[in-house]
Amino acid sequence: MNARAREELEAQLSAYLDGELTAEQCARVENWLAQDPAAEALLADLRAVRMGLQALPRAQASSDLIENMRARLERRALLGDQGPAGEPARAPSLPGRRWVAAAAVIALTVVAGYVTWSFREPELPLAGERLASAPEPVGGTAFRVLPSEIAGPDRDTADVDQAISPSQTHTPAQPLPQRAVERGRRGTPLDDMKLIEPPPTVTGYPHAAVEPPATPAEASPSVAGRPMAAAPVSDGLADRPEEEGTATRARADRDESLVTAMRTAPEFAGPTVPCEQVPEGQPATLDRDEPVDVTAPEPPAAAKQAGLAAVPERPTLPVLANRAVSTFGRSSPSPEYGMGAASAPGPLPLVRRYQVADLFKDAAAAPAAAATSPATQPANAPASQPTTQPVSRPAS
Amino acid sequence: MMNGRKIQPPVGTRRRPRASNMMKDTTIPAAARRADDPDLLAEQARDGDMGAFSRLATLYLDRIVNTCWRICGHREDAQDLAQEAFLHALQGLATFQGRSGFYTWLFRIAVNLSIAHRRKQARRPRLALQGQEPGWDQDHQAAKLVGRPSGRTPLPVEALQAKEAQRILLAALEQLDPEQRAMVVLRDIEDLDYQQIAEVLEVPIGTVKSRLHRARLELRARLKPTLGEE
Repeated sequence: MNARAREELEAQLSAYLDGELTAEQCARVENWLAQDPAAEALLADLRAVRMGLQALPRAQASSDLIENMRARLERRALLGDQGPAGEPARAPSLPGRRWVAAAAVIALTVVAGYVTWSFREPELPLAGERLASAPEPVGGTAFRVLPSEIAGPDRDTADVDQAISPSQTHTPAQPLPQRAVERGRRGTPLDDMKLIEPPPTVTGYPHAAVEPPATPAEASPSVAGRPMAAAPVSDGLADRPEEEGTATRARADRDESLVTAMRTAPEFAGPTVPCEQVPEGQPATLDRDEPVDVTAPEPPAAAKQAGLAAVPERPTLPVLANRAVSTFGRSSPSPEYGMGAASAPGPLPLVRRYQVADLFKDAAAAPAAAATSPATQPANAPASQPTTQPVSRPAS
Repeated sequence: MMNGRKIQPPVGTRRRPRASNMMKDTTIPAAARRADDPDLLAEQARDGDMGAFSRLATLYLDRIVNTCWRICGHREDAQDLAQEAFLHALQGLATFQGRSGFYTWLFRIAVNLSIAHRRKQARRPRLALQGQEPGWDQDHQAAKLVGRPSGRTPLPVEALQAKEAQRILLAALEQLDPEQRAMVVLRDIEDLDYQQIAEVLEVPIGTVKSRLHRARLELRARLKPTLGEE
């Protein structure tokens, strides 16, 4: 008999001793026991161990135990929800209770973090923050535009995108952004408008970018109230007096085309203050240092269809990420930041354009508009919640 | 020699009725069962009859206490464990499916509680003020010789030898791991068959055979000097 067969038979000795083998297995084991005296000795030892275990004293339940059992059973029957030890019943032990608790904590942390992050959104370097941090209360989506910003014939349309930039409190030594000149064209005859000469230097309004005058004459503090036609800023079309009439028509045509482009272009689909001519006898007499609050009007239906209305008020994570990237990649953030604008992978479009006449027109109503606009309104309120009603633009 | 004859129970060992006799027999209608049928009592207890559960407790309390004692190693702890096992059973009667007998189910609860208690006590061993288990001298079976029971009254020397042999046997039993200890207790002390042990411990029968054999071999190795003297 080999060792393996011996191990198999030896493993069956206990079962043989307990009578748990089949007849065939019993025959094999008994055959092995008859041939191997060592196996017989092992069986005798196992039997002795078993008999010793069976001979161990047995315990009996104490009478107190039974009485305690009955007392607890009665107490359980009377009180109902009682645990095994008579204590108040505990919650059932779930296998994954700890995991559920951990998952709940993680989910709560994520939600709390998102909520906190969402409320910290105004702290991002967005336009809304700049508005909120202005030294004077600015209601809702109103923008502050200084008269100096509109003090030139070619700057009659304020580039609010740059106007609210806090980093552009610059001196006249800084050059006039050509983009504002080119993109700020409008169809109003500039000669009919009166200007307020911008101050030589503008400080105290870090939120409002003041474009420097294009020429030293424009920067003169003594030209307030003079007609806009006297502005020496040249647009290249009226360099010679004999060509002034032609240049005026060409300028008017170009302005019309620009206005048409601004109306139709999606990026200019935002609310636009209509252009109205200032009457001849009503000069724009604004104090040079007094800011004009221009409230962002309600976007028209066409603008909503163009995409503004489809933007959710609460920006999503990708939107905010794109905004952050765009903000750091831009020299002049758009006022649409923090106001529910769509994500802009590149430079954000300018959607706020205000015209000179409207600014003058709304100058008198600005305090009232500021009064109606609660200062506590978030600076990044959506554009769909203007504080003043939009002014309809007359059909051209 | 045992060759050619059927194995018989050890001489002098009175085999208690198998627990399988108390197992649930689904072929018998409930009305035809005896009033002390454990499964019938379990059904009545599940329906809210606390008297039926008290009868169940009276029926099995001693065996449960003894099983807990031999597994956990402490008599007083065995009382508490048995009580806790019954109360756990009462609490879980609503979930008792009846796939196994009430006796097997109750033993499973008691054995699991005792093994857990044993493991907990192994991490913080305690010293006994006495040299042996309390109540050791109170049991009449302590006078029996290991493997040498007889109907006559043992001599003082034989009684002393039997006590020493049992002390050595209990010491060897203490050194087994809880699973092997439960296996030996259920088989050799509570006299459960392999199928019942497999149900109580929730292991296959082959595992019961191998574990029980290894436990006995280990006990034999520890008791070899005592066995050799006989």
